[in-house]
Amino acid sequence: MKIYMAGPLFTPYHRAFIARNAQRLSEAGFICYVPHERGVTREIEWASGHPRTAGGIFDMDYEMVAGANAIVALLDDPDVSSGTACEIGIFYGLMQNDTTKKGILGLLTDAQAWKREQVGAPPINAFTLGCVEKVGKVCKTVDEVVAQLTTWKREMRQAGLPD
Amino acid sequence: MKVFLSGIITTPYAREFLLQCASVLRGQGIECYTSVEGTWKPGGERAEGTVDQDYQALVEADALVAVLDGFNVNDGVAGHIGTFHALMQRDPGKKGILGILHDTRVARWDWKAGASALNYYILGCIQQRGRVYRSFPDALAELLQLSGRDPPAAGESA
Repeated sequence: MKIYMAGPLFTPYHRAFIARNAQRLSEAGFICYVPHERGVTREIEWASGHPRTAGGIFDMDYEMVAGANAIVALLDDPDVSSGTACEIGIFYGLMQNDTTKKGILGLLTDAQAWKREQVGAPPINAFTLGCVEKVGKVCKTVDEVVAQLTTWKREMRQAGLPD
Repeated sequence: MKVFLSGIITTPYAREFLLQCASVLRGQGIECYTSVEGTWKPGGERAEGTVDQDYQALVEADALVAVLDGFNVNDGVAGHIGTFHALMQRDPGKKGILGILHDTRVARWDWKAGASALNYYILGCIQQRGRVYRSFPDALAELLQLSGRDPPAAGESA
């Protein structure tokens, strides 16, 4: 089962967190597409004076999103990262006509977001939240993510889909 | 030398980064305050208690190290910068503000944009008595210089 790891990649600690999560999922038997590994390619391209264009970055990440059976999206920070939200939207759209796509799992560790939820406000943007909740759920921990992915993997096997 | 270390505290990995920086500072003999230590719990803080505790630490600090990541600088960090700037006006012993900017949306992947895309008020506040660095080791080297010490030798952990 192939998983696209979506999330903000803009600081070393975001990238380290996503890399650790990918490692955890790999150990649980999932194949992870980790876009920030492509970030290294991007740095080399900048250094060599041949930066990839926005279109090139889109094509590179779209290929991974379209090839995945599920997305795990890190939803932290004051707003969900715009790139992550876009990828959630794309995957939600692709799911409507592709039974090999199992769903979207949000991972939300941001204390400020959960504080919003405690007082009755949506923890993140309501459209993005709706997209996730219609085809998956928002998790607080990576353990919850692994448990749900394992269920989806079992369902794929039972349906005779390659995992 | 006492340092107030300010940064995003709402996610576990951002807190981990601050704690690692605090540990390195202490290893270099620099006293350090960061609001995520001690009795602090995610989501458990009260506004009133937070401002009192952080304000006292800002009063006692010689320098502010502020992590400026995010599309916009975190509002809590911006508050710390403003408060410390005001405190510097009446305390000439304070050394200054050292910003750290990793965020590639703001600085770009090669840091070519540097701090120029930060909010100008915040950038001006920092630049009056300090500057923005691309990494914690760069800021640490400056802190050590401010405290009259040599920067870590090449290969030494920072």
